[in-house]
Amino acid sequence: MGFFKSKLKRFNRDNKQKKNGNTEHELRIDELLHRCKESADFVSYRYSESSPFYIHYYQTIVDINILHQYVLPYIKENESKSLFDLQQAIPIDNTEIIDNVHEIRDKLLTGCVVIEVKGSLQEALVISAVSLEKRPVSMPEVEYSVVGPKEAFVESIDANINLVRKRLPIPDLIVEEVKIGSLTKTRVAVLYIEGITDKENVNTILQRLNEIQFDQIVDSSFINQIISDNHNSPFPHLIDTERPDRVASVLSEGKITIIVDGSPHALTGPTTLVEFFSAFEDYFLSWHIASIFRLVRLFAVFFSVLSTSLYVAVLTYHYEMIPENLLNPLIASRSGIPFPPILEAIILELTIELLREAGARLPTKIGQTIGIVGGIVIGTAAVQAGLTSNVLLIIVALAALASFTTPVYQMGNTIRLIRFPFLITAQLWGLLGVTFCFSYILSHLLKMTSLGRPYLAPVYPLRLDDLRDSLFRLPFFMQTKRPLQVRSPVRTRFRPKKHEKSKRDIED
Amino acid sequence: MNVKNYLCCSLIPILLAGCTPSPKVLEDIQLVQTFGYDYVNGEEFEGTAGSSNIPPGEQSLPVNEVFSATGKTSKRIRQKIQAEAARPIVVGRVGLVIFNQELAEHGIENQIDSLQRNPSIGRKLLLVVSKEKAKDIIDANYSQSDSVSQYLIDVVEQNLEQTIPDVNLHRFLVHYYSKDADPFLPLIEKQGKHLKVSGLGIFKDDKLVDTISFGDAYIFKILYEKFRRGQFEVELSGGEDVSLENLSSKPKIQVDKRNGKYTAAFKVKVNGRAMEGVDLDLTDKKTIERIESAVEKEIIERAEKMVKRFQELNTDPLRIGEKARQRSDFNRKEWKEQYSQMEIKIEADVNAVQSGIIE
Repeated sequence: MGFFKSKLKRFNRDNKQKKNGNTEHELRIDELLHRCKESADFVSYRYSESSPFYIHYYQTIVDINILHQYVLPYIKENESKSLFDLQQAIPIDNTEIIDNVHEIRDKLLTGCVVIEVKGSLQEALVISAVSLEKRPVSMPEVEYSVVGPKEAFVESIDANINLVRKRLPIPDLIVEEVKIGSLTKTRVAVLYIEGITDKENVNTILQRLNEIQFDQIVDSSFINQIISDNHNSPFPHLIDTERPDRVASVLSEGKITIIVDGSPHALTGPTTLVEFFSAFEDYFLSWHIASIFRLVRLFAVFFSVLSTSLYVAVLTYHYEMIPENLLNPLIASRSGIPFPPILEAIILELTIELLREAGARLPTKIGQTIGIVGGIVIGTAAVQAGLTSNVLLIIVALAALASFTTPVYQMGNTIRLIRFPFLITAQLWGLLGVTFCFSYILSHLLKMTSLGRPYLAPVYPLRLDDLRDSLFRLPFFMQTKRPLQVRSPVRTRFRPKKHEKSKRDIED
Repeated sequence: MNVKNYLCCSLIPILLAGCTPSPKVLEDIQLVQTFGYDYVNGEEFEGTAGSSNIPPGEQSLPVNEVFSATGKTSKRIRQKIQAEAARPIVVGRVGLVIFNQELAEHGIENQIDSLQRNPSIGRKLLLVVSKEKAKDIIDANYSQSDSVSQYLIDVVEQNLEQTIPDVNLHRFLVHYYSKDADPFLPLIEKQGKHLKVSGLGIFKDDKLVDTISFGDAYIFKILYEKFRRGQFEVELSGGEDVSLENLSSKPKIQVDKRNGKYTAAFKVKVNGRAMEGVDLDLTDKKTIERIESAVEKEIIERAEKMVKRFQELNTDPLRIGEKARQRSDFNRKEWKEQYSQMEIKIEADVNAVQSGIIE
């Protein structure tokens, strides 16, 4: 670990030196333009022989229509006038006269047209003409729900904020923007509702974002990993969602959302472990059904993590525990197999992981075929060839199925990962090992925090009020308070009137 | 803390506790499911281990495999059995232990001791006494498709629920170690292609002193514990047979002490449905009363006879002594002296509530 720390330090130091070197050297406009011209998509020309204005832009990121319709005609009219007159004449609101070369460079690189007067070397008119390439808002793919809205975030940060603001039309919704990454200069927006969100949480996030020392931020998952409280934890610290409705809902609970430009996934936090097992669809169903589904998912997690290791532990150490009626079928299916239970389990678990990985990498149509054919063919053949037993095949398949019920993809990966330490300890020390591994992970979870807030809340520390929307989802009229975990200054969501439960007719 | 420290900390509790278990992979061991002890002579006895080999395949039937050896101690026998077995023998899944009647009459202290000391043996283990040699019962073919051991266990288990008092290793030990009660065990015998539970063996300390018939075992169960399912048949004065079904019964023992003399009384409440009375008008209230009094009479008569017999043998399987001990003025020496002559009254209260669906 110390090795990595020293590497990181050196990396940071190198970065700082580079920055300093750049600012020390005074850049001039003609030098900047000269450097830009090395790139083939950089255009630099004079409109006509007599015009004093030189036009520079990157044609790949500039909307040519804006240039043709609103800029060039006015340049023609304003021959031999100053930059200021040109700025007044052009009917585009987003124009500036800038004399800082670094600022000009940044504008140029983010899709602006730069106009300078030959020989002035000091200032330039910068006109915003960004060409926005974006795909339309489409259906959610990872967090699909049968009922409820079908909008998902897209790659454009402005479109994403638009989707959220549409759902929260209040001035209290604050968007704070920072730019991260020395190379990518990614726009990262932090969204929260003023007055409902604890300011301390916002400051924590902003501080951590500003401290990020990484040259490229491609996706929100980069941010998720970099700002997480504990880098060595396999558990995700922030919920990763592609649903604007979920974001709007958690914002109004007093949580914070991070939206990263170029990523169709927003991050929300602070979060708790149980939140990872609540699909947002739960809120679209009646509360009994949603609660049952949540319990099923929690059961699935335990089953998925423990079943294979319990099989290995019981068959290797604790034959006394097997019910009498299960003994004969179990021995019959195991007796032809040359491997001990642990090898058998590892072979099957790896097969399932291979199928999953191959299915995820292959194009959708081939992936499905591989999944079905591979699963059936390999499963049946493995049993017939005497490599694995039927009983274990059922257990492993069920466990894999159970791990896919987790609504947040990252958590599903974690669950599949922590199965393996359980398997190993089960082989080493039997049920004692399983218990041991379980308490190890439990103590890790107890210590874990998400943005400095307890991760296992509301179970530990016990928050009885918050239990209404954790393991169960009780009806809406009972959800009167925001979770204590987010430390919202306004804890009460609404005050229920008396006789809230009995619905009134118009006559009453 | 770095990863190495974490790992060290993880290992410490396990290494210190010394509880790292040793692996026993299920299909690499010889699971013994029944065990039998037979009498050879005053010093030695014969042990028989019944296990099954299960051939690979989904529909395969288990093959019965029996090992037996003679020796002075259980450990010695196990050693000899191990010598002829292909895989290590384990006893963690023993479900039934059979004592030959002759051995039981000479005392089973040795065998019981080795059973209760073995940590891998569960307390729900069934113990029975057999009329034949235990080896002949284990090494036999029955008309069942299960493994032999499973069949034997099923027969005994089913009977413990309905017809004979519930007893397993744990309950046996409770009676065995109690100073004021004596143990009893089910009695089994082989009949052709079947195994049959044929009564109860009554012990005095660790020695079998008496056996009682299957019918009396049922009376014993009524006096011994409450239960909900059963069937009781009785012959009425007119010669007709009638049976009580879906019987539920609850016994109550009361021990009194007057002027230093103990008396005991059993009060048994029996509820049931009168069924199958051929030529009887079961809707008639008088008939029902007749049935009730006949059943009461039958229970009292047989129970009194049985208890008398226990007193003569000076054994107390009905744990009347345990009840007496609850009294503050209990004196064990007095009790031991008086038990065989004391007065034990039996009262039965039979209630035939229904008489079938045509009522």
